[in-house]
Amino acid sequence: MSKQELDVDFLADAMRAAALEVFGTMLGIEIEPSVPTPGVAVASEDHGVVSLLGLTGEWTGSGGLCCSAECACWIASQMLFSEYPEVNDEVRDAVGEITNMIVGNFKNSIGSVTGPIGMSTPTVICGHDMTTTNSGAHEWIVFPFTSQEHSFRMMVQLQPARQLASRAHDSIHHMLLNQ
Amino acid sequence: MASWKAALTLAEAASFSATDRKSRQALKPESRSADQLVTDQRNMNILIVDDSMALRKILQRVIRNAGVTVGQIQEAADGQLALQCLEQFKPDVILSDINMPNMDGLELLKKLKGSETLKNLPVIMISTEASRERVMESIELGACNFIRKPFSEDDIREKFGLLAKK
Repeated sequence: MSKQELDVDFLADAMRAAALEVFGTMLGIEIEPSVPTPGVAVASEDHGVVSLLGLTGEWTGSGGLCCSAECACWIASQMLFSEYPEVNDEVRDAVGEITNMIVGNFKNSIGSVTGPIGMSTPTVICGHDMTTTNSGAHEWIVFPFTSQEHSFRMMVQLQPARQLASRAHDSIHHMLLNQ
Repeated sequence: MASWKAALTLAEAASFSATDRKSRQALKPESRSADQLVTDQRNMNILIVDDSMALRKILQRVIRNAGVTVGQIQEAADGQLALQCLEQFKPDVILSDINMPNMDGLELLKKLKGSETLKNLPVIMISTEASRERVMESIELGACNFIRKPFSEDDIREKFGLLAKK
């Protein structure tokens, strides 16, 4: 496997295994994976929730979960055995923790290729018409999942840290030349 | 500390690796029957340290459902708050996450093992950070065991069962 690029099937297998295990164990729910798709920007539903984690190591980037507010409430309800008619702190916390577990197990699974990857604590955002992009214009790989009436997307963006550092160096060089 | 270290061998630690995909029983709301109690019937005081309120809530439920005879359970959202809590509360065991703001679980572990009064308190780490290196690092710092997230009632029962035997 290239040191500059990670195989999508390899990543999809790891994400599928992590998501299925977390939903099966923590929520008692079977989920169905669909075909992963690339995308520079990931748009959320009209009223949606995005949960993001920073990833750092020899490979660096982000991982996250994107779903509707309704789906976020459903995830929290299944996890905490309570009803949540709207997104509140408990729903955000539950979605953040689910993201943490899925992305955490995903990055552990791909560690044989990427080396150890550190992970930040999750940031969860709830709002309308949100789009998640990367400053480096590197593509997300989006992994759709469905269960019963609900669907959500896991997403990941990883690139070699050296490539990112080189890009930052080029940007600073460009800025200095234009001063 | 040496006995705690010996409790988890390198081979056992390796079994926590991310490639471990053993089938796990999904978490359920209902309680376990009395014949499945895993502790020595002594009420266990437990301190749960995790920055996720949802996870703390789930752990409380799973510990009770796993048949652990619970006395008092208290919660802290990070290592600093856990140390404050320990000024008043004397738990029999601490369950601590690793990735937390302010003071993470490994730093908490170092503080506990550096304290004359708290160094013998058993600490079970619970984290998605379950690489072999991270598990070994936790054990070397003095954790008595490690639970990988996501966890099942069986995982909790097994770890508390080991604790009770000691």
